[in-house]
Amino acid sequence: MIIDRKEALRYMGFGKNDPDERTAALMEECIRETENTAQPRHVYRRFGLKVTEDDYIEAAGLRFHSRNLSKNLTGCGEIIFFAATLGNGVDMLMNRYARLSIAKAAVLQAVAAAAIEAYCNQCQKSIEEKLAGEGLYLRPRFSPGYGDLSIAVQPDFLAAIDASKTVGIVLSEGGVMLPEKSVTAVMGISGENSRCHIEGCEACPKKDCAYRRESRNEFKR
Amino acid sequence: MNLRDELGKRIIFIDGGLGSLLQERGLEPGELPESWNLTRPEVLIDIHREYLEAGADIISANTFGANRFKYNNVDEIINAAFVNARKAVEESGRKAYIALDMGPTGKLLKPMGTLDFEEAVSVYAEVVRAGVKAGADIILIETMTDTYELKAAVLAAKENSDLPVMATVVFDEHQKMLTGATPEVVTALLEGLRVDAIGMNCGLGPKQMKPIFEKMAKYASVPLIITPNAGLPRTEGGKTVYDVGPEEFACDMEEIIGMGAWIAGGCCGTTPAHIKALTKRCAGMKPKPLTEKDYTIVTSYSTAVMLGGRPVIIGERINPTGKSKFKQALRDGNMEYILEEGVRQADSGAHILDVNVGLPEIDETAMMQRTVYELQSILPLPLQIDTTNPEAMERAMRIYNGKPMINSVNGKSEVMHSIFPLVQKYGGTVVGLALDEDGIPQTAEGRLAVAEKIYDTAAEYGIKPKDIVIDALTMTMSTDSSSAGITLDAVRRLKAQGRRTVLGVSNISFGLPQREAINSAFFLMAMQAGLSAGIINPNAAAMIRAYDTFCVLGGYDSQCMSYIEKYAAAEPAVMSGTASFEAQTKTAAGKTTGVKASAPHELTLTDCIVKGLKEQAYKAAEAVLGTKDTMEIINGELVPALDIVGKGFEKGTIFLPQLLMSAEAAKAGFEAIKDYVSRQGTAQEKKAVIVIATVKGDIHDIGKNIVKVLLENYGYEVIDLGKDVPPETIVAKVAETHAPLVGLSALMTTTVVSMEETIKQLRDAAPWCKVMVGGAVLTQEYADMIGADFYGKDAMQSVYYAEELLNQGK
Repeated sequence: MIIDRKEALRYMGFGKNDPDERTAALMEECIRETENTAQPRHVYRRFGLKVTEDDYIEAAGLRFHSRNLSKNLTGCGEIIFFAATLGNGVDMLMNRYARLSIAKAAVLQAVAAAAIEAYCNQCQKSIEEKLAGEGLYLRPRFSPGYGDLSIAVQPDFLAAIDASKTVGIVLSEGGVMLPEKSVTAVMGISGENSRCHIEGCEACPKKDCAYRRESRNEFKR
Repeated sequence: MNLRDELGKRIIFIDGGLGSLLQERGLEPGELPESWNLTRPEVLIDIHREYLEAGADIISANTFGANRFKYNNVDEIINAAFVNARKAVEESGRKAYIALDMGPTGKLLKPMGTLDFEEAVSVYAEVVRAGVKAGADIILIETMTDTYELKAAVLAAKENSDLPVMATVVFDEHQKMLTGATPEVVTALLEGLRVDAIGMNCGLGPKQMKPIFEKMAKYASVPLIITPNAGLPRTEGGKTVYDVGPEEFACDMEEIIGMGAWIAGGCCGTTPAHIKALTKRCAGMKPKPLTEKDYTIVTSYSTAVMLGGRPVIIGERINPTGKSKFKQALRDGNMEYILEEGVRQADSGAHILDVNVGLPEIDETAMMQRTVYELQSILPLPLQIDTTNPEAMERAMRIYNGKPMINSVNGKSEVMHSIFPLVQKYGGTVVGLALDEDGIPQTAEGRLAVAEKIYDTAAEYGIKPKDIVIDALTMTMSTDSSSAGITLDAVRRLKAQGRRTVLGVSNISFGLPQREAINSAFFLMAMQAGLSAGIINPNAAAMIRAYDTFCVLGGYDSQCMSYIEKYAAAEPAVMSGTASFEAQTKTAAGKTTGVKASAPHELTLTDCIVKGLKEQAYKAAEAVLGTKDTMEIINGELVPALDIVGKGFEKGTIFLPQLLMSAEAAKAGFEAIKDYVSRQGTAQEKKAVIVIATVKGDIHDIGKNIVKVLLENYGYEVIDLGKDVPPETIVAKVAETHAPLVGLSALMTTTVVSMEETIKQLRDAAPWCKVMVGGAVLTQEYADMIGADFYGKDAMQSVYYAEELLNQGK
């Protein structure tokens, strides 16, 4: 898992600016501690998929509506339900610095966010390689709560992959995933290698977000 | 018939998977399996009978998830589970035990989650009482992924029944539980809690479990139980499948039983066919005799520290004795100060932290409980609970997530009989001071005799010698020049008897100059004499150097790797004990204060804040405090500096981490002023009170914490109610303090709802109060929709709003 420093800096609000020396040093310290503390885990299961004409997605005995996702899944016959987490050691680390140094807590938060992204990318790549053996291709990750895919699917989604037992992700009463640095996503499986239209930050409707990526060519996925 | 009498006489077999079999018979995804106890009893009876016919001696009633979070008729569900199980036993004509099966609650405990420890205990207690009433023979706690929840379940079982308790946890292929516990941690914790049989289930197949089982068998002195999955799960056509067939399963299990399992069965993917193959193959095997293992293990939730080999460092700094600042922190409930002491010692190399928060004028029980809870929320180091107050001791031991070290008992009968029952109940490794009613023996023989008394009394409570660590007592050298000799002699002789020892090292130099020189030399001599653990100040360079060199010379530092890594780049050692350890060595762990930058001393307070130099800011403030009035410093230096940074942040020339480093530096400046003012005996005036909270359901609070620090910088008295705060709590606090402004944070669309509810309640109960909101999902539109007065897109905006609203006369 190689943490993308540019991504971490973006989460800190630096945009395209270079960090000052002290922030850069603090970031390296946080990266080291995150790497030492994280216990990254992931789980995924593969299900048959049906997408209805009115944009309902049916898989794993679940049925939910999303136009964005249905577009993303065009041409897919199967779907992967995926969840990954850095584990609760990183939560403890974040708790620690939230109490003792808010500057470090903010940097650590950004570093941990970049770390879980990096880990998801790594997992996705290995799934991609496995599928390549079957002549199949993987669509980009698409997470509950993103675009018009309601976050209300989260409990059923986590249950379908037994996430609490397999990787230790549970939901709080407020629907927040614990450990904090956790990701759930679906990925379509298709026989054709078509890249999806837009992905990631740029597809999000929250246009005034301070962390929005400036240009999609800026960062390679 | 009691399982306890049969254990060890023959191999006991337990049934296999249940959930997967129910699914095969039509249980829908999302349907609660235990509901079938009432709606499809015949299916349960069938499955139980099949397992009995396959040779299972224990069957698990279908109660795994039967708790109040999932059912409002827990008693009925559990009773039905036992009716079905008993029916199956009758039909099979066999003799069998029926276990009350308890799995995880499905919620994560605090501090990582939101479920309170005592609430978890009460949830399980309800299940246990229902199980006892329904006729359970055994309590089986299984598939546990979190040691804290595991402890809650075991306590509930013990406090509400006399039944045998078996507990198994899930390990992954890294040989850890999801929350990080190793087999050593689990073994020590469960043995300490006096569980009858311990082990592992689910997650892995028998092959993957073998090396983990081997570790548990190495450390455990209690019967072991193992119920693996039928291999690793794999999905096929959307269904979970397992590949290990009955014969292969039985063959692997035969080997594990040979390694010492007394109770064996299966978990997910195993079927009556697996159990049949298992019983057929292994029924004739003789249980491997149990041996008493002599490992002294203390643990946190994730980390085991072993005493008896390489010496262990117990950090002594969390203790108010002789520290006026620490005492003040205790009186103020300033937890950050205490936590910082903990983190600093951990960074300096402590393995265990002693925790003593006793002060006559505070509620020690409450403070001890809070300190232990907070420390274990931010550090993975085991703790040594240090108090003479049995009530404080019990509360701390109860909520401690692991097997703690207990400081202390001594040879006095009254003390032992008040503390040992706690150790018997909660587990722990106890420090036994070698003194008794007759005082401190003046000879090594005398101290050894007291130690014997402690071992004997401990045995009455089933506490084994491995869980006693004798404090051979360090007496002051300046009053008696034979002190060290007697102590070291006692350590040496205890070591020769195979006992564990500990010393509070620093006492040796009391009344002498250059104390660290004496302390470190004595520490070395004691380690050479065989000391298991030293209670020392790990922040003192000389002490750590003594320790590191001893590890090299004593052969505990393989190829001197740790020494080289730590000292190769360091400057030569300075004998003065006051030299900063950090300046001389590079520590492996990061420092709490973040980056250190060297800066010339002539930097002004304004410079320090703008540059975000925390330590220098304190010094710079101190330097001007004698010469300038405090208000002049605040308004002439601190506030302008903050304004510079704030404006830079607005303009996008300064970024969040820099803003926050400056905020911390400003905080340090205020700290210096506060210390000065309190020395002068005058009180500092505060601006208005602002109540802030992360709303109910939400547990992400970094944004709120940032706002807090910034508002405090600007002189506001911020009451931080924390995260996951119900509307009622916020309203009550606002009403109580008559706060003119409330800040609410929410990160999720799902929790903005509770933000709206909070605002609604505030409007009714505290109409004078303005509400500002912020958080990732919020926008101006959202804020308007839920009726907030102000939306802050970043932390600085909340400061500007507060200033505009509350500080117009500035």
